[in-house]
Amino acid sequence: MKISIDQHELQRGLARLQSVTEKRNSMPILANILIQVREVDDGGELELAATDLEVGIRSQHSCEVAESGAITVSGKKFYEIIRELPDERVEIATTENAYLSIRCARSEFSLAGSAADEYPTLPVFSPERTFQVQAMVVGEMIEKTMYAASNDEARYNLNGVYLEQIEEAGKLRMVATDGHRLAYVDRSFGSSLEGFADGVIVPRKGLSELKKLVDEDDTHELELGFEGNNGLARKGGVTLTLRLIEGEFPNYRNVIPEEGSQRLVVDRERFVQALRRVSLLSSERSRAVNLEFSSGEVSLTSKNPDLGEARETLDVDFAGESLVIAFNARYLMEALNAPGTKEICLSFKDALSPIRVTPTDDDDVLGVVMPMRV
Amino acid sequence: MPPSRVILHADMDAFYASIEQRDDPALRGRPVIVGGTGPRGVVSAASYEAREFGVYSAMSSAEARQRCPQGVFLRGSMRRYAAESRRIFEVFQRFTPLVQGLSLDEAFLDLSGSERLQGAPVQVGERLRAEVRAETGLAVSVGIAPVKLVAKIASDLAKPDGLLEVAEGRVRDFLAPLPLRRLWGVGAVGEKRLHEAGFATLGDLAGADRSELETRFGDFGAHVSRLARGEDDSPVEPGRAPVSYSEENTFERDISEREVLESVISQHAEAVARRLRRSGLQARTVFLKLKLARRVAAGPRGYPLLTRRSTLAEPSDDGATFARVARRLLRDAKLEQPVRLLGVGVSNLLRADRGQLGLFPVEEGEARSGRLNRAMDEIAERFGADKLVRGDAAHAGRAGLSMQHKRGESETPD
Repeated sequence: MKISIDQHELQRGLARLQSVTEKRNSMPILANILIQVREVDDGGELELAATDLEVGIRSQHSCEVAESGAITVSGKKFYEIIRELPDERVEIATTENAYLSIRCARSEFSLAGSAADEYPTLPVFSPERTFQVQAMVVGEMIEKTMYAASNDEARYNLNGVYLEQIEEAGKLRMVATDGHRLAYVDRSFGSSLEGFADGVIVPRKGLSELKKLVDEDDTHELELGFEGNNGLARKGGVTLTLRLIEGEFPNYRNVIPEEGSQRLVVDRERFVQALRRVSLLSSERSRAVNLEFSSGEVSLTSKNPDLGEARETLDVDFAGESLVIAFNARYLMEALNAPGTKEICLSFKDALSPIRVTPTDDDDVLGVVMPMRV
Repeated sequence: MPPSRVILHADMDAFYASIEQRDDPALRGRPVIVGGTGPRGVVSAASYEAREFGVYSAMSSAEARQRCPQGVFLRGSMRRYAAESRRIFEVFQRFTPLVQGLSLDEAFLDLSGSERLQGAPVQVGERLRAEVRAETGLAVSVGIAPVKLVAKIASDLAKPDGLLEVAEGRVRDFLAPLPLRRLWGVGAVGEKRLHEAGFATLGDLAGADRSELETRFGDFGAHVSRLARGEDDSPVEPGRAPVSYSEENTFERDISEREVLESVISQHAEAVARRLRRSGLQARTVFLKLKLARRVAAGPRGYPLLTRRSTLAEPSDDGATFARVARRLLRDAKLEQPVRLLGVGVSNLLRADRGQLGLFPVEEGEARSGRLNRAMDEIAERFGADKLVRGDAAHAGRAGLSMQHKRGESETPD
């Protein structure tokens, strides 16, 4: 293998793989990346690939090829070297005993690697049907739901975001829950969702890679496809393969409360800031903050036997019965912030029922948070 | 000689079942059975009336129905029991600030030096019993003695709805006929060893020469010798609620078999979980403590000590959950030498009746393990913790569990 390629192109490709290369030493080869070079019709193609067996990333880069071939080397070291090189042409080539030689300007490195066939095969799969969606919209949906997914390994079926097509043709829903709160977003993609019948659970890790891919340049279209336990996302020359979560997503529709009898609209920023201040003195473990609603105002209070107490009162348009509800401050703040709008509507029934957190101007975004008992 | 103390031990009678009977007048005098009501449910508590029909905990609900068709079957609520516990402890607090809670329904009170103010200990005890009954409608049995151990035994013997005082000079006579298992720290193994050495009662132990017992059984010998004579100077410690619970033991021989270590983990995890449930608590952090067999320095502290911990995403009071985490900690520790001591503990404790509510109804699996735990608690309470073990704790017998079993309840995180 012997090629020459622009330094910044190579650096961009390697940077993308860093979060997938395994840092733990459970399987040392997974700290490596796979480098493959082939000659194609219009010149040469370098393919960089890495997997942690859950998520795989493959990217194609054009280059000048003198000799095709393949090798696997430490993803981190290769990236660190390339990152420090000047923005010029870089020549890389395999040498005796699976070393990778790197030359750029007057620098020269010889990096120890291994034969390419020692690297696990990345799943190559091409779903029968894929659909095109706007990358920007997918990014927005991930942002507004992923926070509610669970980190609890024991609840593996909640460790991701559920994607399903909802009744209305062309509308995709993303929904996530950790059993204490829930979030969903519906977005319309026109008729491009044809063939996306069954719901899938995409794990957090895969989603955050997808989000990064989208964020690189969100003006593009994204190609998505699912089949069996695998998912695929393609954008530009980058392909992401995702192992889906096998399991059943709970029947979340049953736990979404109706609009409650008690209702108010708050200024998101003011409310979140007050929550943040008051939660400073909430107990470290529970993070409980009380919301004391009364006519025209809500007082946020917290209490910690070791530290003291805090209270802050906000004027709000509340006209219902007086009531105290306790929440984990973080859950409430995340639900308030996720929609990204200026005003948020809160609606609830009583102190032990879930609260609905919705933007005032978008019926397709919803957060639900279960209160705490204190 | 230190001034003599007056320790009162208060223990509620058939706590859960009594609450149910009190709250529903229609249940009074009737056999009440708390437990799973489904086709595969088991009984987790039976009132005295139900026991007369031969209904006991851990019996299948179906069989209980056969034996006692007129029984009232209920599911029970830990939250209500915990709320009741708070009311009872408020009553205890009126008698002295020195109240040490042992669980939801049990506490030590130190009444030393309050005689002139409050009257004779027996009168105080009767007043406490009357006030608990007036406030809550529930019966509590009371034991009074100069030391904690004896007060606790006395309240047990006073049941149901009674009071027993063991005066200063009567302690040794009181203890003498009792079986060895009455002592703190004497489990099945310790009892067997003592039986084999010819000791049958506490009187036998009290009469034996202490230095001889110590030579023969080490610290354990000295410990039982003191207790059997009613020498227990442990104070009533009100303090704050404990921040960690643990169970550990030193093996009689060093252990390297993985399945034995895992069995012992299960046993300790179950014991810790049982204590948590009795206290109405849940824990978020599980820790595993290992003392390795190869000494690196002279003296008893010369063995390398490893502590590994892991925090759960959700607080739990389930022994199987704690065991699973502790077994993973054991695997991750990648031990290369035998183990001399193994302990399992939990910290980061929260009250079970508070906290984050769930969005989804309790899943069937969780509900089932909750029912199983309640049934196991009942059995442990009635017959002793060693009478029922989970299948995964079955290898523990092979460890030759030593007599040095230690229960920890620490107020500082370790």
